[in-house]
Amino acid sequence: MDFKKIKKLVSLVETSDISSLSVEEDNLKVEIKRELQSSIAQIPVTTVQQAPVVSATPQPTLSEPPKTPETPTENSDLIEIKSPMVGTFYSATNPESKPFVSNGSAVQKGDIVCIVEAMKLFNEIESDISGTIEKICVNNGDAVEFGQALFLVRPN
Amino acid sequence: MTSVIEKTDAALSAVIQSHSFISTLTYFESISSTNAYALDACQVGKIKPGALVIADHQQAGKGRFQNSWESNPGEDILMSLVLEPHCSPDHWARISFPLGIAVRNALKKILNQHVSIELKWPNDILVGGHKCVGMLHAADVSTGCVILGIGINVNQESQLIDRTSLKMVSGKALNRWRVLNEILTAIGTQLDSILSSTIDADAWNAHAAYLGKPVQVLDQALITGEFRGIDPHGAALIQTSDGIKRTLVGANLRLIDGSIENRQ
Repeated sequence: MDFKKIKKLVSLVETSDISSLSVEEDNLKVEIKRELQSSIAQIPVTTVQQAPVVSATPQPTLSEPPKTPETPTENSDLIEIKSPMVGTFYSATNPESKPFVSNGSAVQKGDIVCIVEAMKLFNEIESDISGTIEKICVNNGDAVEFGQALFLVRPN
Repeated sequence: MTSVIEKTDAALSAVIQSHSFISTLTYFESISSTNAYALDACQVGKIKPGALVIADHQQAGKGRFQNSWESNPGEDILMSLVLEPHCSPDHWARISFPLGIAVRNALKKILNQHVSIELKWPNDILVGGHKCVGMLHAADVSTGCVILGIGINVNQESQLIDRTSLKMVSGKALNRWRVLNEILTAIGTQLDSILSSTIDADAWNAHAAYLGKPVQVLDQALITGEFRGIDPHGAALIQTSDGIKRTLVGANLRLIDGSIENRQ
């Protein structure tokens, strides 16, 4: 299980009403528990079990919550446009239409870059900044999570 | 070019004025789509939360993507209601569930008590087993508004085997604005739940269509199994041979027993 997937699971717990989530994959079990203290939700992430490692590559062990990368991301010049909700990513208004943007497209702040749909609620996602689309992080029709990066934009 | 003809109607205005959560009414004889108009008007500040947009006819009335929603002028209720939810945008998709319960409550007051009125996940309403109400919503995070698009077949006599109308069910034509008044009354009663997108799963499941029946829904892959209703997040629960699967992003829940609802 890679770090990005663990980050998604943390986001899922943060934005839902569930108090704990346990996922086991590739011999690694991750359990995320939400503890409410006053009005602030604490979300510790702990590895509760590490099964015997089959491959030679050691499995990661987390002892503290993964830090959500702040924008800019790994490429310090790029800004993420994130999904505000769980849903399905659509790059165009309908299958016959041209995509709102493609790699290299210039966007202005407020331009619509995609649609995220969940349960027949269509959310036109706008760019937060003016710049150039450097990367489209998901494919048309992909399921996306709350807070997941949809685009990387190089600001003007 | 899209023709836009605005009109006034004293009886409609009187209905609207009796509902305090409605701030303005925009009534069109003909418009491309009430949702498209409301979204654009909301984004430029022309209309505010509480605005109600109604049309006698939509030139490009839409269901999900390519699905058309057709009606003859003046027969049905085609409306978009602009609301400003109290919850964060990631919960907005849940608004259909309290809204569906409200619309169902309204129809229950209008129709014979023996007619079945069922909620089809995620947000259609079946009357007597056929589609009578369709809902399609648009969100605009920048203004914090949701456009609730609701189409109610009131007096149309659809030739489509999977559709029905209140007239077809009751055997008599109904006054559209009386129906609208009941809808707005029910929405007003459920307004707190709608604005907070609060899901009462038990209340919704009590009237869920296809409960316990074999269904299919397309998520990232096709899920086939027995419909078990919704969970507190609004996800559809499907009992499959591999256990219960839940989907939040799938659409078009379909019966797979070959009955007429399967063709929706």
